[in-house]
Amino acid sequence: MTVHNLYLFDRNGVCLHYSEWHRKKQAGIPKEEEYKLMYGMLFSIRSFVSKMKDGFLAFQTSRYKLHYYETPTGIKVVMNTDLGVGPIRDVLHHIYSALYVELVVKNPLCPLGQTVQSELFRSRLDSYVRSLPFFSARAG
Amino acid sequence: MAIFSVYVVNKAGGLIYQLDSYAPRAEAEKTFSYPLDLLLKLHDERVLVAFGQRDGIRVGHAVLAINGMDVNGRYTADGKEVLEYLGNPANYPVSIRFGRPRLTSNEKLMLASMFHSLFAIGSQLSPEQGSSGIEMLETDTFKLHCYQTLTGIKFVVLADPRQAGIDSLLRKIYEIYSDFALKNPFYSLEMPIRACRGKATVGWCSGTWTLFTQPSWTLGPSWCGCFVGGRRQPCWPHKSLQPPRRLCSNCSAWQWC
Repeated sequence: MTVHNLYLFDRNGVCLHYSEWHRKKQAGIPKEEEYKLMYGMLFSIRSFVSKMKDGFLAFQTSRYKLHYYETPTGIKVVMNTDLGVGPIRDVLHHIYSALYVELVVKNPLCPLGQTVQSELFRSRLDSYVRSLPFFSARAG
Repeated sequence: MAIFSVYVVNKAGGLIYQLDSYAPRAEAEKTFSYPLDLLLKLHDERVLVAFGQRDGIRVGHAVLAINGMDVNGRYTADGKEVLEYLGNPANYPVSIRFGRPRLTSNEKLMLASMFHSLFAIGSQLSPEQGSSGIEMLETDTFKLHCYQTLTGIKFVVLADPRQAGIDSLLRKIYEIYSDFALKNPFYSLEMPIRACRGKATVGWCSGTWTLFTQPSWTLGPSWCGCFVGGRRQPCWPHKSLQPPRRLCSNCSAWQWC
């Protein structure tokens, strides 16, 4: 059980933050393009789900599981993990409320709507994810 | 009903078969007085709620009926425009029923193609080697399961989140597809499946999921899944007085509806 990577998007599709821990395969396209593709895919899945019913939570393929959490302000927290991980909505909510809001939104020197430059946010997020019960440090 | 719908998508992304089982729709009927505290807007020939979510009425719900009479798109049953009717204080108090609008065939086609692309992107953005496309999509109210065959056909099932055994159902639907569609000499590949013009429902029979099909009642020899005496036969004119029967593809037993 492991965490592959994490994306943070704002309501306009700007990727505010990206970190990876165990990622074996790159997308084969530049990072900017990958963020746009990921955002576009999430936007389409959201509109697809809202046509049927509503409340997209996660999807899984044969190798990974993508967890999704969106706030009413349009901030999207996306985490790719292994298949053995159950619902982690509260983890994503914690990343938003205790890390992003506390360290970035409440910081007057951090401009919103751009990639987060704060080193404190990056290191706190990294240590939080590494402390999660389903994060194992093995490389396999 | 635990299974909401079944979709079969061909390798180009086109919808070739679709089946909707009965799903309880969340509807809310309320009496309103002038002025209406919901903001309604016209979208795609339907009147939708744009703002003012409350009491079971969500944004995106459509006006289904006014004063008990079903509306016809943007017009009421007597042909007046819904927005005009609701803008006139003389018509109040009025009772309006809101609910999630039913998907039209066009919308289903678009959703199938959209899912086809999302399936491929899910595999491309994978952080692991050798990932397939989206096999399961989870939401609050339903779970979407997808099985892609080696030939590129996708079987998509929308079911209750707590429903188990969907993987075997998907394999079974693949089996039924190859039996009923592929072995039909008149069926062209990748085209919409119309083999049996009778109805089909998904159900549970002797410990497994199966498809119940009703034989076609049309006249003349047409290929259909009628198992009479254990052999497939052309479907000759059936007496319309015969009660409808369903064929369970698992135990091949006729079941009375």
